[in-house]
Parts: sequence; C-alpha cells; structure tokens
Amino acid sequence: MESDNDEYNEEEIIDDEWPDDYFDDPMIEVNDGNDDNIEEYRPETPPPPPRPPRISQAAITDPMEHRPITPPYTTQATFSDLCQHVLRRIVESLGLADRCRLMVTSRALKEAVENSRWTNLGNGKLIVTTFEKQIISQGLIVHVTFGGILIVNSYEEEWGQMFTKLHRTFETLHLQELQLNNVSLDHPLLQSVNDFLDSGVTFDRLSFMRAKIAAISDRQVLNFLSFGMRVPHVQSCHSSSQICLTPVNSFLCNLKWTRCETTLFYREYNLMNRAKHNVVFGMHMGALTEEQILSFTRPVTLNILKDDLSCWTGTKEEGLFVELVRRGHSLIKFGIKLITLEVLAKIIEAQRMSGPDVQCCSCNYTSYTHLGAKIMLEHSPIPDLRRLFMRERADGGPPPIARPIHYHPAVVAVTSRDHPAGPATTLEPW
Amino acid sequence: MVLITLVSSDEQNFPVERELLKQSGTIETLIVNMNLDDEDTDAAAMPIPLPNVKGDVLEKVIQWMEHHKGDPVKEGDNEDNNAEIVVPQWDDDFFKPAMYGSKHLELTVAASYLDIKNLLTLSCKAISNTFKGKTGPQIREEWGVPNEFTPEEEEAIRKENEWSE
Repeated sequence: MESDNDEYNEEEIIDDEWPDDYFDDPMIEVNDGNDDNIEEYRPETPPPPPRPPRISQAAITDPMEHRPITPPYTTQATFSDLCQHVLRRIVESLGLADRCRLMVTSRALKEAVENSRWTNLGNGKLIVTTFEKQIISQGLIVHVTFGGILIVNSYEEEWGQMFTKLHRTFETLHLQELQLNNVSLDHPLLQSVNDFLDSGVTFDRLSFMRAKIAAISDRQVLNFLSFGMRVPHVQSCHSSSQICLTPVNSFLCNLKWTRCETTLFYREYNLMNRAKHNVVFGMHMGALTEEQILSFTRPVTLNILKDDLSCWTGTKEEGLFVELVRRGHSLIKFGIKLITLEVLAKIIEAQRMSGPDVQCCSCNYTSYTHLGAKIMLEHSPIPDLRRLFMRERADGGPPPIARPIHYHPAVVAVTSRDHPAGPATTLEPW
Repeated sequence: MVLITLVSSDEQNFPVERELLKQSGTIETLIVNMNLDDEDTDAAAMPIPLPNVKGDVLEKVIQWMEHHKGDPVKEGDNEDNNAEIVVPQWDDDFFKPAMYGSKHLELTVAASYLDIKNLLTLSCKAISNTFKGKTGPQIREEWGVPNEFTPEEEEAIRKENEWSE
C-alpha cells in the first residue's frame, strides 16, 4: 500500500503549474479574477498593513538604557526577586536621604521605599540636621540618626522638598523636638512645612528660633499669616516638653495681625488639640482668641509668657482666666501686672480647686506658687495680698476638694505624690 | 545525632544535624509535622526537598547555621529595628565574598524562604549598609542592576528627591 507521500513530487508541481514569469504578465492579473468590478474599488482599497516586525523598532534604534525595562531572563537573583517585606527590611534601616537616593536604583527598591515605614522612629528619637548649606549641596546631609531632635539649621529651598518628603513619609511620626532655625519667610517654602505639621506629626517640643523677617513685604507677611504659621522673634524653650507658639514679631503692625486673626491660629490650635497630655504650650496672651482657648477639647497646660499682658487686665479676661482654670487647664506660668485683689483671689481659689501647680513670674509681678493646696507667695508688691493669704491661713479649715475634672496624668501624679494624704492648707512663713 | 538530608534544587544532598535545623522555621515546621526526627519511623529517612534553594546557596546557609548553632531563635513576626542592628564581624566576613552579587541576594531569598530570621536580619542589614551614602547609579553599578527607568522617569524621581543628592 502506497502512502500519500509517495505520490507527492514537489518539483513537478511547481515547475509544471507555476512558471517563473506567470505573475509578471499583467493580463493574467486582470483576467484572473471573476469579479468585473474589481478595478473600480482597487484604487480605494488600502494596501494591507505591513506585518509588524517581530522586534520592535525601539528595540533596534534605542539603546538598552533608554527603553522601558523588561528585565532579560536571568538565572541570577536580582532585587526584584526579593519579597517586598524583605526589601522593606533593607530599606527601613536607612535614613531619609539614603532612601530617597535609593528610589532611582530599581523599581523594586523604589516601591519598597514608598512602602517603607518609620515605626521605630516613632518614639521621639530623630535627628535631621545638616551642618551648613554647602554640605547640603555636596549631598553630605547627616539626616536621620537615632536619639534626638529634628533640627533644620538652614531652611532653604531644598528643605522645602525635604519637608514634603517628610510629610509623605512620616505618617505616625512623633518628634521630641522640631526646631526651625533661621527660617526664611517665603510663602511657597512654608507650605511644605505647614503640610508637614498638618500631616499629624506630634511633638514634645516645637520651637522656632529667630526668623529672618527683615526683608519681607507686607504681602508676604499676609500670605504667611494666612497659612497659620506665626513667626516668633527670639524664643527659647527651656522646658523639656514645650511647644512655643509666639506671635509675630511686634514690629509687624497690629492691623495686619487683626485682619488675619480669623484664620491665623487653626494650625496651632490643631497641634495643641492633638498634643500629648504632658506637653506644655507657651504662648502670649494675645496669641489665641478667647473662643479658641475655651474650645480646647481637653485640658492643656499653658505657659503664659509675660509680655503683652495688658489684654488680661480687663473684666472679660479675668472671667476667661478663671474659666480656663475651672475647666482644668493648667497654668504653669503666668504673669500679671495690673490685677485686682479680687481677681487674684478667684484665680487662687480656682487653681486650688483644679489642683495643678501654678508657679512663678518675675519679681516685678505678682507671683506665687501653688502646689496642691500649699501656697507660696514670693516678692509680692501688693501689700493687700498678705491679708488675703493670712486670712486663708487663719481659716485653717479643711482643704477644698478637687473638682471632678480630667487632669493631666502628670499633674495628678505630682499632686498625689506630694500629698498622699491630701493637701494641707498651710502656708510657708514669710 | 539525628541527621536530616536536605535536597537542593539541583539535587545535591546535604545531611544536616537536626539541631541546626531548628533555626529554620520552614524546615522545623516540616520536621515536626511529619515526624521526620523520629528515628523509629520510616519518615526519618525521608529527605527534605528544597526546590527554591540551589546547592551552593544551601551550602552557605548550612555553614551559617553551623556557626550560629545554639543562638537563640527569634519567634513571632516582630521585626527588629534594623537601624540598630550591628552586623558581627564573623557575619560581615561571611557576607563579604558574595557582597554586591546575586549570591548575596540568593542567600537573602533563601533565608526568607527557609524562615531563618537571624540570617535574614543580618543579610538585610549587610545589604542596606552597602547603600548608605551612595547615589542610585553607584548602587546600580556596584550591584550590577540594570537601569529600569526611562530617562523621563529617572528625571522625575531625581527632581523629587533633588535635595538628597
């Protein structure tokens, strides 16, 4: 039995049936078709598209480094072979600048950097510092180490980007301190700082050292103020846990300050509301409006700075002051220049009831310390105060009971430690 | 002394002390679940195939485990703060010959696959140490990583992180 293959003769078919000049004859082409209309639409019929090349043109003309990567198959391991959690472990031991530089290395590492977290930096130990501007330009930023403070010594344009990066990166960052030194008040630069502050970062201490404000136009000041970031003059924070919020330097005219008042403090206000319980806020009396102070959702510790106190001498401020204390806010420091004996008595009474310690002022002002119910009066220029406290001491009655207010844990701890059996109504001898 | 045979992807056999293998969470789970360390059963003679680990890498892993025999084995998923880890001198020397190469990455992949936490931690730390203070192109050159970005993409990333350059 013969197979089909045995009958097949390739040469015979080709040579006999298809002569070499067969397709060169135009008549054959015309007469070959049965459709008479074929010539009518032939001109309009586009030629079939050329078959796409098996290798893209880009692959032929562009060098490898210019093409979107499709890694060649290799048996060797690359970074993309590592799982994301492993890559993150690699990335997360790096500082901010190293992570940023790593992003241009490979897609896998870029993704790892973008997904990396700073969870272990969340306990307030972070330093971002630099020596000087030239070191920034040389790429020698000493950026993130463990154990300290975020310090920006030279706030230039580069730092705007850095804050943008920080804003994106540190979702749950808590800093012991953010210190901005020599801040140039330039509108677009401050936006990144404000974004950073708004991102939810919390501080034990936030301070702004002397700002360069000499060359700023009124327009810039207004823009600046509209961001809610205020520029201090020299402000030093000695407390280990303090946020210093000071108003714009006094040479800025009060008119502008007043005009911006409605939008000025929301950022600081938010910062205060999300601060930890033991954070102390230092501020001038004119820094917050009465409504803002009273609307704090929980008691805070206010460190009232002693200048600009005249606004606290009116009747309204007296009431506000007493109301503040009544609500459980702590006043660790405040200065009063012109205050009536009655108001002082109210404050002392309210402070005693709310339990926090109230201390100091300079010798030029009325000053007292209140630890629990133990009152010390120092250097009082008002003779009538002697009578006030002598009267209290002469009463000798039981100490007032603390109000059922949510105190700072720290304050409660101090009070209960100092007075385990309850406060005693005694006064230090003059 | 119970010996358990590990078989690499290229079918090399590595008899390893049972004690050493406690450092590998993956193998330890397998041994416990299948009673491979019970000499009275037939399962004891059963080799453990590791299809994702090549012979030369597995050899290095065993060498590392032998040196760290008796070290406390970390439990749970708690990841250390890698920034505070210091790579000991022996481990530094161990990683050095394979540094900047695919072998180091394969070792890291194997550590992850075999769930050897200490090795993974040290290996990751050793890799990240090589990144410190270097630019992207420098790292690419050292590690032989091809540039996966188009010029436009690279420029965009660079611009975003310009301050760190």
